[in-house]
Amino acid sequence: MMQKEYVPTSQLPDLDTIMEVRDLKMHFPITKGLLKRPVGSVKAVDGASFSIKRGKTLGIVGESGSGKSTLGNCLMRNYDITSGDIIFEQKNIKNIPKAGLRRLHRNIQMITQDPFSSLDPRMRIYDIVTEGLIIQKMEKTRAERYELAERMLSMVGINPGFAKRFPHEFSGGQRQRISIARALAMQPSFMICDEVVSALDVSIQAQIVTLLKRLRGELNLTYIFIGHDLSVVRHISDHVAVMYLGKIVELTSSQELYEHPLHPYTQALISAAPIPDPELEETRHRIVLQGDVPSPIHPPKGCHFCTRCQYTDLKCREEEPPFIDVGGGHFVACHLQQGKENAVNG
Amino acid sequence: MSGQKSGFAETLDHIIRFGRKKPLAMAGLFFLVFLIFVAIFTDVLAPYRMINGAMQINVLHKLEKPFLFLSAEKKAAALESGNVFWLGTDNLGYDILSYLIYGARTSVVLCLSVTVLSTVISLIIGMLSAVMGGWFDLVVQRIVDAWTCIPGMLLTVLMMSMFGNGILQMILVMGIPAGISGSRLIRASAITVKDSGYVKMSEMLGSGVFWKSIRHVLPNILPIIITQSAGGLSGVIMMEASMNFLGFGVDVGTPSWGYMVTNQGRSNMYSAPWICLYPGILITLMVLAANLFGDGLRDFMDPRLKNGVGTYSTKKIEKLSRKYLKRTARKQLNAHKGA
Amino acid sequence: MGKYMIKRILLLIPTILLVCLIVFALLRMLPGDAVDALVSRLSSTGTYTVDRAAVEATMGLDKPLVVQFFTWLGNALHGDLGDCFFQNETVVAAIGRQLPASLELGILTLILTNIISIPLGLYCAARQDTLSDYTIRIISLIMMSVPMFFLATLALIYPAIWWNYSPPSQYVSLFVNPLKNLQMFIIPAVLAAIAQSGMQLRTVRTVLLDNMRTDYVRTAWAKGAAEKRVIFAHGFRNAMIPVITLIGGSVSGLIGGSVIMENIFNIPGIGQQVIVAISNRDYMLVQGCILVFSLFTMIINLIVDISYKWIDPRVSLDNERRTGA
Repeated sequence: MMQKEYVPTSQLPDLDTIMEVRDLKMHFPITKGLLKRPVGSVKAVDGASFSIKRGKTLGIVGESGSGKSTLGNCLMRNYDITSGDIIFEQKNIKNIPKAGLRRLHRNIQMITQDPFSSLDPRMRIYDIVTEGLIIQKMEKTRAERYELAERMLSMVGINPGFAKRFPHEFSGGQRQRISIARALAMQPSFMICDEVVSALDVSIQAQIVTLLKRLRGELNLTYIFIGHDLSVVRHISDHVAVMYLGKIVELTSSQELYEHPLHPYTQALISAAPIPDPELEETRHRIVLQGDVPSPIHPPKGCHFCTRCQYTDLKCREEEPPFIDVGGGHFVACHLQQGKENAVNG
Repeated sequence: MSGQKSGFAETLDHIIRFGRKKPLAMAGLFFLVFLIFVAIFTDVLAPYRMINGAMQINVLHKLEKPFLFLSAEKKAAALESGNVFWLGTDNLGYDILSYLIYGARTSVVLCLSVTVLSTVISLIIGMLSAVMGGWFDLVVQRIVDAWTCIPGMLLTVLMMSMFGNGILQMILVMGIPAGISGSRLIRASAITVKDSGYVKMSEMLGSGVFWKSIRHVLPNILPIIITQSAGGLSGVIMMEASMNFLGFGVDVGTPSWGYMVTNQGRSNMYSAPWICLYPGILITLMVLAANLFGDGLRDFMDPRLKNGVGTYSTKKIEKLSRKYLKRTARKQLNAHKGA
Repeated sequence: MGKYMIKRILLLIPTILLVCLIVFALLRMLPGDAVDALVSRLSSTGTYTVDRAAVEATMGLDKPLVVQFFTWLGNALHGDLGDCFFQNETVVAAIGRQLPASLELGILTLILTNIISIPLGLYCAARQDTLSDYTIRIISLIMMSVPMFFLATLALIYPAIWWNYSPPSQYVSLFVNPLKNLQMFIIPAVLAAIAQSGMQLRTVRTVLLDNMRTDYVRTAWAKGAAEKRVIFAHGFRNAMIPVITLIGGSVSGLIGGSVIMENIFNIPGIGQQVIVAISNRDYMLVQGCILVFSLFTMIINLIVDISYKWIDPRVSLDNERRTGA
């Protein structure tokens, strides 16, 4: 129904890779004293590399502090990255000037976690949804904008008759839908969903994820879906990247991740997710990680996971494991995997 | 869920609620509106209007007493000749009532203009400083800090002596410093708004400083702006009267209440001591009205008041908690009985 | 605490410099030179034929503005604020001569204000919403609204008419003749105190009430503590912060108010001095006076900030800016 009117902004349909990230590093400087001397840096993202094909979804999982939200913000160019490259639609967007950034926001949009503070409480819904159009001066008259707002709202499942209402009259799930409508109004080809369901009830989570999947099909969108709940992320993603302390430790298709998790951290994450069968749940073996997450200011010298890993040995503590392909597009950063094809599973 | 009333009906509703909740403040507002009315219709109301911008001088009737205090025959004579001075005249022959009416116009014009000017300036400085941040914010904040250290009265006197007397000069000299000092509060509130999610989302849609300030920050700090302006009203009136009193205000030809206290009031201290009373009382009433209105408005807009808990004293809390305890106890009792 | 003080004092320096710059710039923009004023004065007495250039040179006004500024600043750091243009003394001497009177007026007003407002504020908070509370609040509102100069003018006129009394017009130092000195100061101090305490009483009351509604006070009530103890031991201490801010703010307001009071009651204080100096375009004197005032205000702010830290250790340097004091 919608597909005829909605045209992706890129006019090159044969080039498949929509985004490629090479060794992205984002270090936030810490300053001390009145003169703001840099005394160190928080290594939020410490070398991430991946690529995404058009129409696919990459899920990024990790615990709090792993750097996944920062990664999303970097791709959105909310920060000036410390080093690395971001190549979007064959152009390096690392350093583009402000005008280019504005154009970029027509192609990449982001939805964030908090449904309550992401909508201006003093604006009506249709104003919120069409705000981007006015800012970017996309030629529309007032009536056309209103009509577009109504279409967007019905596309996300909100009654367009509510367009004149204020955000506080909607529930959390509905507000997230409005945020999605706002992002969609810009007709992007690429959407970053930063923990969009983490603040919602489980049933509402399901609704929103279903909505996102439907929109992806209808509008041929590409997603990066960031979250901390592996079950949810797996549900919507084609490929999943697992992050730990600023590094991607495993990257593969979601099927492969579930069946053959290679990195010990991934194994621990999967084991932490409950299985709906109570008998199985009680009897299975759970991996419980020991120790605390090290500080991102002073990460461990070798592998970042070595302080909590149950298979650590000397090499892990000394040398950082390279992020390599162990077969079939399955990337892992672990010394144990080198030379091995399928490790012991958890 | 809610039927959204039109903007006008909503405002009217707010005003009615305000009047009911804070009658004293409403009274203050009425007095101020009354003064505005007088200010607009000066020429109609004043018995001796200005001719060519100068007050009328009745040479034959200097220092007359107010009408009611005249002896019977003088009253008759006055009524006959048409020279009725309701509040008397001063040593220069001005009819005091007319002077007060024209003085009202001066006060109202000054007060309104200064408030508007200072609000606009404090908005511009405060919001831009908050939203732009960085070096702009640092520099501007240093300047604002330094400015607020200089005593206001002295600064005003200094600048008035620089630019000479006159209404326009007064408006600028009072408005700009007030704007600079007021920008502090605006900046503080704008900073809290600026860090909200929706402003960041707006950034991601591609907005710049101006769009963010006007479309997002401004409507969300509106209550604070209104409260600040209303609260500053009384200060403006006081300052304006004091300036006129010291002689650094409007120029001599323009009637003003503050000037009257010095000029006509003090100089006729012994012969006509009542003259300084009239303008003084009027100034007091105007400041009182502004204070009542400002306070009432601030209380009304306090979110705590809307939820109804704000003005409760501990006594009332005790009363309420007793009522609540009784109710829950009764419920429990009934539940027991039922079970 | 010591580090905090040092940081705070260091922050003063750029502010002081900026104040000097602002004052200096404003004065130099005055239409009508000091030189013109002096020249017209000298030539009107008819004694000299005046060479304008020579006058300029003696006053040091022929040098470029930037040089003037830095010379003045440099001298000021040594305690020399220059010579008055129109009076035969240095600026420091002129200020020193007039300062005691203003200080005395200010201190008297401050003491009286707090004597009136704090106990009454406490009383009103304790007896909230009773008749006495309302009465006192209305009275304080009226006191706040009456312009000081009006009250002062009335206080001059009516005693003169009714009782043939007028306050002494000759300034006598406190140490020479305390009685006569107080006679001169008491009326303006009382009037100014009335106006100020109107404002302060309401703040004290509001702040105390806010504190009384907090949880820890309710706990004290629940514990069964006596009313007096609850108010003084618990509510009062934390209410002190906004009250201290207000007192600090009112001190700088005193300076402005003093201008009017000194004008009416003929007190030889700094306020009067400044006005005379401004009319004379006496740059040096005006600069010096405003600088002294501003320094004074800044020191008071410093003391207020440091006492915040002493009362409430959680306050930090950046925080204090955002609490909108």
